[in-house]
Amino acid sequence: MEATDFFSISFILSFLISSLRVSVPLIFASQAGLLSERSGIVQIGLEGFMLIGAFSAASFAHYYQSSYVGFGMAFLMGSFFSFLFSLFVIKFKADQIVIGTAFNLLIAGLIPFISKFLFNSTGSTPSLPIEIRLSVIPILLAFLAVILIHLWLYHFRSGYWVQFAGEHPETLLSAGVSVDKVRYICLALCGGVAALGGASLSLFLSSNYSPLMTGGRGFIALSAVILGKWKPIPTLLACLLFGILDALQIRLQGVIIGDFKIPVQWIQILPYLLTIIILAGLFGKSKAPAFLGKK
Amino acid sequence: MASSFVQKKPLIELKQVSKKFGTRWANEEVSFVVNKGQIHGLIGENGAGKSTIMKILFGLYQADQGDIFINSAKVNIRSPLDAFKHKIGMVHQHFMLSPAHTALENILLIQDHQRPFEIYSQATKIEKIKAKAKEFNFEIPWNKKVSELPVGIQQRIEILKLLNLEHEILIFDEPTAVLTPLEIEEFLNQLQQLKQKGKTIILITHKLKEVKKVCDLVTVFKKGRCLGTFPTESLSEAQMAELMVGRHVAFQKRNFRKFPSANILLRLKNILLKKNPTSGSSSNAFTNEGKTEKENKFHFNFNFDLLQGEILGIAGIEGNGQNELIDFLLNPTKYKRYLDSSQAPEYQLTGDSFLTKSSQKIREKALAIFPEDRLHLGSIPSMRAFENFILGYQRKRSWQQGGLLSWKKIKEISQERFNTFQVEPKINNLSFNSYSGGNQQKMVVARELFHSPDFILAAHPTRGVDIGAIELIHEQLIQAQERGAGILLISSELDELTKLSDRILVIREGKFVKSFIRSEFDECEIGEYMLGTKE
Repeated sequence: MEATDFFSISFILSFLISSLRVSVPLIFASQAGLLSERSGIVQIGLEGFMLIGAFSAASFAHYYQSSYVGFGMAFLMGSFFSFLFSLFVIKFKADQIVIGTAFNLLIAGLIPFISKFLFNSTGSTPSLPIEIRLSVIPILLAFLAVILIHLWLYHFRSGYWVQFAGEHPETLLSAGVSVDKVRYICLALCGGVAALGGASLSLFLSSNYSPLMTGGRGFIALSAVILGKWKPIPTLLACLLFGILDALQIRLQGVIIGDFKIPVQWIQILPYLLTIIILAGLFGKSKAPAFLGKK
Repeated sequence: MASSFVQKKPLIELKQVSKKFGTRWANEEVSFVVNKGQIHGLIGENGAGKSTIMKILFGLYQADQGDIFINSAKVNIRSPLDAFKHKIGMVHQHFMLSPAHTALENILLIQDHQRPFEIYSQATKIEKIKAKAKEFNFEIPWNKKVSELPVGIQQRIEILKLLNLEHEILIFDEPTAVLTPLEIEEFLNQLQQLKQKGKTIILITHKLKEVKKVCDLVTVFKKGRCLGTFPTESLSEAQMAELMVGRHVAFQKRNFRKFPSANILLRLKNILLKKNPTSGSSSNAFTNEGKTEKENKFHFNFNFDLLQGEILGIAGIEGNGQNELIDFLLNPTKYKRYLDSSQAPEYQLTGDSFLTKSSQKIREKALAIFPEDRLHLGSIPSMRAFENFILGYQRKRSWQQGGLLSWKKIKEISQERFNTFQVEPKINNLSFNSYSGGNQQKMVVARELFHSPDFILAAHPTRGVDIGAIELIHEQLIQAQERGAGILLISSELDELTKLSDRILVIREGKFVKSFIRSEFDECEIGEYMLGTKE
């Protein structure tokens, strides 16, 4: 590919659309992470919830031959696993980072195990026919999720409960609201929404589940939350930025500028590099909820 | 002679309530009765169990033994939610406010009928809150984050939260500790108003004057036990103090054995700060919505000398530059950009210029500070008491042995020091935050005075501290003065200032507007300068 091709209208258009498409899983996952973290629970387990979502979406879509069923079931399965997570973290007060990591490992191992029973394969689920794959709906739902979460957090009473749970739980308790209840609900929603991110990977960006298909997106989503300063709309923008970088990385594979071949890895590290720079405070402070991770 | 005042309708009845923390009884068989429509004072030294018993009533702690009756029915209050159902509300000593949210958002959090899916900032609710604030004359900068507001205003937000709820039983845990004299006056009037509206009020306080002024009945606590309930008019302040402390307490003014020398210890000259770099942490008490602009236009101008062996009092309404003064003294380099260098500013301590010194250097020069906010600035609350004893002085060689900190030595010395300062409980390996407020302050004072500092910066040294401890802290300050130390005493208690100071400077809007020497002290006149009614 020649460098001049980058400036044609059709290229730019297709580039933007593909950026938008690859952002969708990130948007869902980062909004999920945001819900959990705003309520005060460190969310390392996004990767696992995404995998659950991707796998259950592909499986249910295959059995019912409907992506909508798959998408809905992904939400329920994600919520269920997230509920288990919240039992450990809230009820038994276990360390949030340890349990999050444990869930990631557990889920990565559990899926091949179930897959062996269902499809007699430890890897991928059967491919879905092109007619029942999702096309635009996940994009719309992702944006809808951002808007709803934004409205909820900043305009509704229960949204403020979430904020106070993360900022000063004692205040919330003295206002007669159960902090634990707020966190249970946030975590259940978090699992569900993160699973939708996974589902859009397997039903929207590809046609089946393949092993560990999230490829670290759960962690990129977490970076997006930090980059977006734990606020829904800036987090969305961070996801779009990461989406653009991701699409760029795909486009730049094999591109030669002058004599120089850009290594793909350079582009791939950009989201993480950005997060490090942000965390170092170079782009203004990103302040976490005061009680994030504290008990 | 006690507990014979049941002729009025009892609303709350505590029977043999006990609570144990570890091996220590925080409350032991506490029984008393609170009548409907009265103001009931709870007094006692720090750690006497007043706050604990109220936290039990509010559901934050559960009693190990004993029963609570409300309207003669036995109740089981397991959480603040249960307390709400019984219309009990509490203003806590450590504020229940989220620093990251605005004043208004914090007040809106507590409402009578809370539905999860209603709009949070409803115009009618905001109006109701603002009307309530007006009714009680509270000026609050509604749209500022709580982290940017001075403690005095945070306190008002706390009180307003409770008033807004229309609760029947209002518990105030040392509500006036951080208010200015004028605000206290107003607050006490408001308590009486509330009483007239039929509310039942329980007031935990150290200030016997307030008890005398507003309380109908007073219950005295000592070492976790309740000594009895008395009608307020039957006891004088001195008698109350005697009951609390268990011995006679001197109330008289300080006697002067020594006068300040002529040597200048600290000199601030032409310190003009154009803008306040920490505009957040220290806004002023006058601001409200309309006036928030004004505060940033404040220029600071610090100009004074402190002599050796002098106690210089700084009087002023909170937020008029006291925080900046303290901050500047501790960390002048932070203000480099804001300092007007054309006026030849001077900051001299014991003859050396400190204008460009780091705060570590200044601390090593034996500057001791009792910070206003002892939990955030004076200690690491989660660390143990003896560890806190070397905080800020951990680099001192005397704590070390072979390059390592000698914990054995630190433990021994700190225990000895804490004993002299009568820190209760008498163990030094508990975490700092498990001591009561007054004992925390005693530990801070014990630490800071240990190294015989030349200069002591005492910011509200007796805030939220009981009479016994106040006496002790004042005594220590006077001893330090007699040894030749200079003391800058910043306080909102005029009583304290006039009792201790050799000289009082009044600070208003960042400038010193008036200076009084001891023979001219007049609380009314000082108050007028503080408020700006007299220029």
